[in-house]
Amino acid sequence: MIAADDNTIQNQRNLRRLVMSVQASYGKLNLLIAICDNWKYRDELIRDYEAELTAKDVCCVHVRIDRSQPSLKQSLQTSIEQVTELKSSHRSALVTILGADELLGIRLNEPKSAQERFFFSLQWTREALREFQFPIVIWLTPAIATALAQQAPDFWSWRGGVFEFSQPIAWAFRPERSLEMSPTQIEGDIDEEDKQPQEQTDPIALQQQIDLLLAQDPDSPLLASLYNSLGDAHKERIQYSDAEVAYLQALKLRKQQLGDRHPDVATSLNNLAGLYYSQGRYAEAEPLYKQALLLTQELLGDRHPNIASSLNNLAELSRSQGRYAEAEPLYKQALLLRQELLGDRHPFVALSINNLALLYHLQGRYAEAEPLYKQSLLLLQELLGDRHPSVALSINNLALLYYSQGRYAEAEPLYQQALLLWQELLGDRHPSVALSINNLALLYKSQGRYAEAEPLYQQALLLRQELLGEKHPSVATSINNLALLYKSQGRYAEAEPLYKQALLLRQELLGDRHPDVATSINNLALLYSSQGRYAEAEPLYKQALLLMQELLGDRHPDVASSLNNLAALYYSQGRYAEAEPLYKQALLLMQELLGDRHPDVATSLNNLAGLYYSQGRYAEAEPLYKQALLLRQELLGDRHPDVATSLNNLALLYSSQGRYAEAEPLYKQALLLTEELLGVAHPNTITVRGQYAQCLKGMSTRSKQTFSI
Amino acid sequence: MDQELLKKFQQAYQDLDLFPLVETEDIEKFRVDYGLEVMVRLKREVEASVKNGKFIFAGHRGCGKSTLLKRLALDMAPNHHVVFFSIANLIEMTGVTHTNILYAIALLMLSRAKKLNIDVAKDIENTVLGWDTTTHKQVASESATGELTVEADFLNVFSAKLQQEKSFRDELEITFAKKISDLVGKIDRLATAIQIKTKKPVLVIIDDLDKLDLPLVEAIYRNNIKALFSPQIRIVFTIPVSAIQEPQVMGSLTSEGVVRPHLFPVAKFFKKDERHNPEAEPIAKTLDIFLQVLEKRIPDGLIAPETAREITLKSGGVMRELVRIARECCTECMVQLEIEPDRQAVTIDRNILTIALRNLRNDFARQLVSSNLYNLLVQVYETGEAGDSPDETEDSSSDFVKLLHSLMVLEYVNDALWYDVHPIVTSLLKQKQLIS
Repeated sequence: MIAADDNTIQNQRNLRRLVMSVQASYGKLNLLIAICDNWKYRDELIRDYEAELTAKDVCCVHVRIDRSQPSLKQSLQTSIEQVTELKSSHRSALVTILGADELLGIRLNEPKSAQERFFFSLQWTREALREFQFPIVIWLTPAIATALAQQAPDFWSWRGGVFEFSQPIAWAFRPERSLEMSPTQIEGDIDEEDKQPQEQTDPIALQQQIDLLLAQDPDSPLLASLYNSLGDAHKERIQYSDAEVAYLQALKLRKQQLGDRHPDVATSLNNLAGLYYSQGRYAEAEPLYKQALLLTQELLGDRHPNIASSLNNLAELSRSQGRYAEAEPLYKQALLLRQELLGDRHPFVALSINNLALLYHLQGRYAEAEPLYKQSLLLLQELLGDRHPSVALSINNLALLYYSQGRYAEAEPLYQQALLLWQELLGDRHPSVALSINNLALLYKSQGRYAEAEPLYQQALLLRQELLGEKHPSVATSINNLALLYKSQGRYAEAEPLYKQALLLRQELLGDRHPDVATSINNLALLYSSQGRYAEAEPLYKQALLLMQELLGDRHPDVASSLNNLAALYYSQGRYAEAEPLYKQALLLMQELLGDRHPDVATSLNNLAGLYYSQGRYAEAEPLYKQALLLRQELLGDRHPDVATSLNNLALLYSSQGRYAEAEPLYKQALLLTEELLGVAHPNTITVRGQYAQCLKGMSTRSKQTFSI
Repeated sequence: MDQELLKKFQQAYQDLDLFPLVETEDIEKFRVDYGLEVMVRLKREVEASVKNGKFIFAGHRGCGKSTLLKRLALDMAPNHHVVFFSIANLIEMTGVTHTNILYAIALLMLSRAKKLNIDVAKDIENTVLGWDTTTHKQVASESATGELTVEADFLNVFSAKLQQEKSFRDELEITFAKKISDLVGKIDRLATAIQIKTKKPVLVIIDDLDKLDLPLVEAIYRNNIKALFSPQIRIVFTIPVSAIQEPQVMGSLTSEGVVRPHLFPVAKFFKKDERHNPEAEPIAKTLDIFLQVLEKRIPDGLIAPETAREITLKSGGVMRELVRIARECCTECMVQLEIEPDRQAVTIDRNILTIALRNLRNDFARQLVSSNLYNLLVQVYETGEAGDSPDETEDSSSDFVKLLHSLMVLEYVNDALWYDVHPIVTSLLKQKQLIS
């Protein structure tokens, strides 16, 4: 016999060790690491031991690691499904793992190489491997084995034996299959929607739990937490006074148990502030938000996600109060912090961008808002995929912008897209769907498509009533919107009870002192004004204005609107002397709050011009009309109903001055626009057509007159 | 070949299992009083603590930490309703965050509450289970078939997804990260419900958090500890030993009331200054316990007493290494029986041990790819301190960490930490004449 060299002897011996180890561990997990630096020899070894074991009635199975998803656990699970012998436990089985030694250690376009992913999966899913009750031989190269020991130390620690086989011919294996990159799909958050009733916590049951716990364990730290949850539960059900009691109790307990300076105390303060915010108690909310922010900064440092949330809350508060200039830096700070903490590609960052866009939108800074909305939408689409509620929300917001800009044709498909998406993702019966339907209705109304708008408003209202119950602020909003529609259609008799219903509901739910209540009062006044019921309208206007000034301060766009409305009332009553200062005040305020370039400023200019026109002060009216028209054309584009209005008004002015030649083209343009945008039957279109006709008549009379001389 | 003897060795091989003891019957069969003082200390602290106390437990790889925690769970059961789980069973651990740890707690507690037939409030279920619309539909349709209980359903479905689907984990993260307080509120309510029903407060024990890489650990225990500690129940958290050396992590823990972590150290046979003294007597108590382990798993007559002692000392005090060496010896015996079928009385003796040790030494040798690693080992051997690389271009901390991870360097505790080279690696160094 030729004397075999040491290497061969060692290899032989290791093979025996391997076989003995396998035979000692049937029916139990045993991780056996086989190391070979030559794939041909490896295959030979596999053939050898499988031949021996098969002869002893052992079931030998090969499992290949899936290169695109290199997980041992996965590969084993897939095989088990396919190989019945592995499932049944009475036949002895051995699994040989292939393909682990072919994994590439280079990172291509992925953040981690195939090897790294394999090691990670070994390290972190090894507990799950214990469900496999058979010995496993894993074939590796020496280099991969070393790397594995380093990168998956706990898996390595579980190795049941190591068997090295050496036949040093150059490693000839070249993997040729191309790598498939696993798609990265990050799903996103579910935005804060009105919770459906079945998702809401039942406060009564919760109170019972609290009582039981109080009886069993009165100083349990769980109680503060439960009171907080109780506060949340009441708040969801718009039971604000009960919520306040619960939140205050939680705050008290936390201060008692934890002292004044504890994050849970900051949370409690924040929750209470949030409640006050919902109630419109802005003045009370603000100090609490600030306190919570300060405390959080002290306890958790400046660079904590909670800080970003706190800043965002304060920004929201400022925004609601119309303090847009204050809100902007807060939103920006929150955005910056989130970018730093979470990176640029995170849904929270996208949502922060969205919030900033919303602010600009409200400020009429449409040009600045649009790219941000688009950026937010793109980012959300990338991160969350096309089919996610947050994406639907983003699309909705962009549509809302286009709507504000009068880009109705662009808004409509987006509204529909958002609606469809929400319906698909959330089902037909969801508050977001109601919101979407409502927005679409709003669009149609502005376009004068009243017939299409009405059923949608009703649908939204019904849905909200069913999902949220009769007593919900969103329901009040829907009732209000329907009333607005009827008013636009001149259906005053139907509008009035709805306005009253909305007002009553809001007073009940939100209390007497809430901005939405002020809005409702204002709307009712508007109705009366339209009906010529000036005497009834005036006190309501004044009430609304007063309330808004108290709740929102003197410097709020809604206050400016209120001033404007009261002025319009006086104007309608011919009380020009009283109207003028109010119009001017409104215009000034709007220019200060919203800047010179805001559609509402254009409206204000237009109104003041209208006043001067009625007083025959044509020279003063003309520049204001022109300014309004230019502004509207710039901000809203050439194809907006308000632009048509402005064209019409200027034309009327010229007409009244006999400047028919200048008036005619303006009328023509106005008519084209109104017919296209609002339809031939829209009251505005009819008005324009009538006035155009008058103008033409005037022109021909003039020319006739001239001719006759 | 003596088949009966072979079967005995095969049985011993099986009993020398490297995995933690989690089955109750295994614990009963193989249990020794190893680590008892550590467990008792932890138990006392839990009992004496405030009702929402948080505890930290760190253990070295291979020491028997999981087995110990399982024992603790059993011990605490009379006075607590214990929820014990390994995070590794629930979430793929490259993505563990404080958010999904809290989520895991909520999920487990919901599952437990269901098992106890507690009428869980709908909104709690919806929060914990209903946030991912696809899973919810899946769970709903599965329970419609009526075959499995709801509990089995959702726990399996969710853990499968948590482990396999990164997208699922990402969505979870994003869903809950901004309403952690809501999630914690649900945990507290579930704990209340369980407490009311069982009349025992809840104790949660989370194993395998010590397996996380240091950056993740820092993110969790340093940056987000308040959120992690915010449930108002007692929780035992595990943590890597390396993390409690991090002053910032410790600082963070201390500020949250964790005065000291409970450390389950590698067992010591020798004091630090005697560690390489060939004359020194090993600490009897530790030696005894390790020998007991061998006794329980290897039948009488199969192992020579001096060899048992040798094996023990070669383990360096790491329980799993003891088991590994003994197992390797069994393999050698089985091979021996095959090669020399006529030979009687094969036992684990000096010769067998020598071969076994050689195999294990080769395993280590294969991993020592750079001379720097050898230098580091020599340094540790000589100083008993954590290594500093003489070569500045090398990242010494990661090289040292590699040695720790692979157990080539072992970590011991007095008041401070000290280190020694694994006895088997020591013989490798001696073989290469790097040390005398």
